[in-house]
Amino acid sequence: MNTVAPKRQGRFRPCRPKKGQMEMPFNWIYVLIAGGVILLFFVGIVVKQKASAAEQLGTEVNQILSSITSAASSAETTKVVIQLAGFAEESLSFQCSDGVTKFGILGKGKPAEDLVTPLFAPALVQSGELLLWSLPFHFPYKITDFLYVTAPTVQYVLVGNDVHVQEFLKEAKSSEDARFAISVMRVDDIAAFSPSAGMKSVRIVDYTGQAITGEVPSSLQVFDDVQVSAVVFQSGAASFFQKKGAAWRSDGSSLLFTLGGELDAVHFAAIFAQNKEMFDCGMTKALQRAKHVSRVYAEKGKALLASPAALEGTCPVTYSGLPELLIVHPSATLTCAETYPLGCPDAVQSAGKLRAQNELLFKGGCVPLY
Amino acid sequence: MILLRRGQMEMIGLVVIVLLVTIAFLFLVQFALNDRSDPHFFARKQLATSTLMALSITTTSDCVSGDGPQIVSVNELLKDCAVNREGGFGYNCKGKYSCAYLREELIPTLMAGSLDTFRQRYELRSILIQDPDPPLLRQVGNDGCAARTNVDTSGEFPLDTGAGLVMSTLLICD
Amino acid sequence: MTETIAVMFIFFVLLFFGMIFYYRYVDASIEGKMDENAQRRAIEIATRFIFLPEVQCSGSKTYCIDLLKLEAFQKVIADDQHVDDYYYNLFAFAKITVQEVYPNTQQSWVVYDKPKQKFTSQKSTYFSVALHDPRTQEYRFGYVKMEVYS
Repeated sequence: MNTVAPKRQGRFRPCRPKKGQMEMPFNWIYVLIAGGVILLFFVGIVVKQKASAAEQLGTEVNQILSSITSAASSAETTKVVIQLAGFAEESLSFQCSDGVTKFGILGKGKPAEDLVTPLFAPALVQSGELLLWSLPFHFPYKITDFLYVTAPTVQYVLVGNDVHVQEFLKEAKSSEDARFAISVMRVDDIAAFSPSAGMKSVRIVDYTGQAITGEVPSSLQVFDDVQVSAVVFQSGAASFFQKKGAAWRSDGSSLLFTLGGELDAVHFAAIFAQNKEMFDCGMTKALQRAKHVSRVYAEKGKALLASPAALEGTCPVTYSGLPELLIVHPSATLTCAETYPLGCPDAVQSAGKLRAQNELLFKGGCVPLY
Repeated sequence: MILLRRGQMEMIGLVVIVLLVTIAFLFLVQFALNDRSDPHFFARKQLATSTLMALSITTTSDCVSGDGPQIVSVNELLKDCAVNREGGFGYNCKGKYSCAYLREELIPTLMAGSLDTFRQRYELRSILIQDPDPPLLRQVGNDGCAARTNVDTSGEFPLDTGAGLVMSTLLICD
Repeated sequence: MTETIAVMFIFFVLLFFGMIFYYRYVDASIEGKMDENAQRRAIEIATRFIFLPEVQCSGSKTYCIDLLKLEAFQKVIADDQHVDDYYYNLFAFAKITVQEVYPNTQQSWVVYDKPKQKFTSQKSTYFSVALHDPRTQEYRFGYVKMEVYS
């Protein structure tokens, strides 16, 4: 069969249907539009997920860091390990000035702020784990919990034979959580000291007054300046030092306003605080709190004195020293908080007297103030 | 010719459908892998622990003993209940012995003012380990926690008594 | 041609519904997370209050509030705006009420009250506490109601 169309001649040309010619470009336009929309959809999802992931990271960091301060408030003498799996390569920075503690990931985002919890930590911590330890600060009743933040990569070197040395060695581990282990060792001669493997910073705690004189030990010269620091305890004060090249740079001294005793929160604050500024800042926060707590106890004392319990047996005599102390101590604490460190010796003295008065009440079978 | 082009269109349509199904599947996977931890777990657990701790040391001045009127705690009444299950000795509180007073008066009053007010389902139980059946105390609120999901416990609170160890637990559930 | 238009129309309708579904899901997910965070904050603040040295019983007994200190704390906060501002750092926008359940159900203390002017949500959380009166050595029973605004 002849399928070829006959060749027509003349001016008349057949009207060829253009349907096929129109559909081809139209199909491609459809594909382009559909493909473009799908692509845009995926791009939109990716962008949104990226933003959401960044926000989630920030939130996670804030939650972890906020749990740091909450951990201090929920129980005393707590030892907690916080895993920082996602942030092992990041450096956490801690600083305190003008009564505000700021902590966060170094160079990323806005640091979290805390105006209440006295927090003492190295300036920079790089580790997959944070070790948190809290101790109650008494003045003479419990004022607040001090929170110490460190990491297994910070080595504490104790020089001397002070009673605090044994205390720190004992408290460096937790009987409840085997993961809690502060790297601490005691040495007799700092010159012969060599840091353990894996340590990223070293803190020398000197009770002899002789370890931080002369040059920085040769084994510590390899560390950056910011990674090596020291604190010297002598005559009721803590002197802070920072490595500067091969020598020690003094950061100044702070008197320790404390009633002493076992597990002295102020003493350990000086050990864990990076420098004098952080220590003083934390102490100022604690004393601001002490101001308000003392007012509460003053009111409680007045209510106790007015109660029938205060008139029983020999209690009227035992309570006789309390009214004056209920005025003197809050006032001294207020002065100490406002003029730290100048007005603080009087506050320590009145705290001591209040503690003695309270013990008398206890022994006399009267209702104690705290 | 048109037949061939229809085939191309159908292929593209198929591709689009496959893409849509893939997206839907991705959503399903995301939803399935989402952590659906119970956000109220910690609140219930803390409430259970705090309630049992506070309840244990709560005192009442409704009781008398051989020495006269006394201020006694729930723990002391529980000890007395473990030792004097049938009564006859020990504390007498508003004409009832310690077991009856705890079961019928004090514990229901404390629970009514707290967990019942918060509309929580709960189950409080105290048993003598050496003789657990029947329990010394059993208080159930809002139908209790049998066959419920999201049950949180206060943990076990042991109490050393003359008759053995008494174990108390408070369950709070959804 | 008609076929093509019909297919495209259905395709875009499906896509449109898919996008609506996705964004609704994301919104609900975010709302759920915010709700969870608000609940968490309420518990955190309630825990902070219960362990506050200003109200906690001597000997750091857990879930125990010293009545004399509670009343003193209430008075100190009420009398001094600076003190109220200080505790804002701990409690933010919240209302803390301590309610006695036994033996006196009429007793309650509003210790801290700082509502937020335009709040989007309010979460309440409860903790039972023992209320210790050191004058009589009695331990009453009560609860702390923490209302947190966000």
